Amino acid sequence: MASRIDVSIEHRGTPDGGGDAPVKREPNTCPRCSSHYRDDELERTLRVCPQCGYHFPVRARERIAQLVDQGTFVEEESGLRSTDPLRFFDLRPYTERIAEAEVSTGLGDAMVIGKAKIERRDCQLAVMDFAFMGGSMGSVVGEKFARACELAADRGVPLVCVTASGGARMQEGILSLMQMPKTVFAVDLLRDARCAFAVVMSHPTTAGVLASFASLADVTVAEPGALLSFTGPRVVQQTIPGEKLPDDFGLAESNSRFGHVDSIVERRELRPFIGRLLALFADGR
Amino acid sequence: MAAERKPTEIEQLRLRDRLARLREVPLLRGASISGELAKLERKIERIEAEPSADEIWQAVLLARHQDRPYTLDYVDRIFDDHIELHGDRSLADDPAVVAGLGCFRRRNPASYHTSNPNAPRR
Repeated sequence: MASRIDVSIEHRGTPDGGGDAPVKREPNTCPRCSSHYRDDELERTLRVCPQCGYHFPVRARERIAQLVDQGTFVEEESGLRSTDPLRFFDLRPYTERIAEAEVSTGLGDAMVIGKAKIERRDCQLAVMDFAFMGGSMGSVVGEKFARACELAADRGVPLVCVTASGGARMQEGILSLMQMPKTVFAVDLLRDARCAFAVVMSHPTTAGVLASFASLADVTVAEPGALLSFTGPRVVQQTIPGEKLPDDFGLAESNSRFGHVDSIVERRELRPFIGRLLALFADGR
Repeated sequence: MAAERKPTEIEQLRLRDRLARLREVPLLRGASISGELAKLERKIERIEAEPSADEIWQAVLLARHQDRPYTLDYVDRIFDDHIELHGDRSLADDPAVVAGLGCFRRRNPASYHTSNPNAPRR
């Protein structure tokens, strides 16, 4: 007799809940300055608002296209799929959610890995996609990242990882939490092979991913305004009702002040920056 | 005015005075006196070569000048390329330290420098 756990979903931030800001959000309207753009306009500006510099989220494929030398990316391990060993369901079965995400994003899971050249330098690439179930790390993301580390170590090339994640994938329970030590070990393997590891933290990089491999890079770069925090400001605020959190709580800028980030790099500077970084990593090779 | 004179200037005046008096001595034992003369003249030359109070103060002002080179100016000139890494992963971005990766004569060393925290930020 399978026991069933009933869940109730609390809707927060809906109009009748707070009522200060309109919740409806157009994907191509800048949340900071309300400028509206066509999709091709945003694609040309690397999804950065030309008016105020707000960095829109970037999908994995588009990110890869932005970063690598044209035609050099070769995807690897694209066939990995989650098997749902827990046969998990909340309001809907997990398999259904995965299938839906796969159809809507065209990705097998929330991470794409492969080899590529950036500014004519070989590297291994691992890019996360927030649109696939919040970029959550389940066994597939963990396995893909671990394999990216192994492939980089085998080839003796640096690993560049772009993170965007809400954390561990709740639907995989303990299996997703197990990806945290696994990816940490994978980074250690990379280190033993004396390969460099650079992480670009994009909005948002939080919870299980921030608490495992994303924080372990030799060089950590953040996009401006990205939320990089184990727990988001809304939840932290609830734990201290009397005080007000600083406005930049958990953002890239405050992380930079506290020494958790090496540099904040704007998206249009990202490719040349990583190119320079790879050149500096290449000593003795 | 005399009170403003610093020790080297006073000594210089004293030496000149002795020199003048030696010149007036009748040349009875010429060799030994001319040796003394040469010694005094060398001494005056040496004192004159020393920087004056004004020159010393100028050097201090120059070293404190707003547009003097700061750590990052040296970093720019030493390395062909240099990426500054700010994070110490524990406390804060320390403004008194400049650290990073640089390219120096085809080698890529890590670099570490102290820096004036009040240096103009770039």
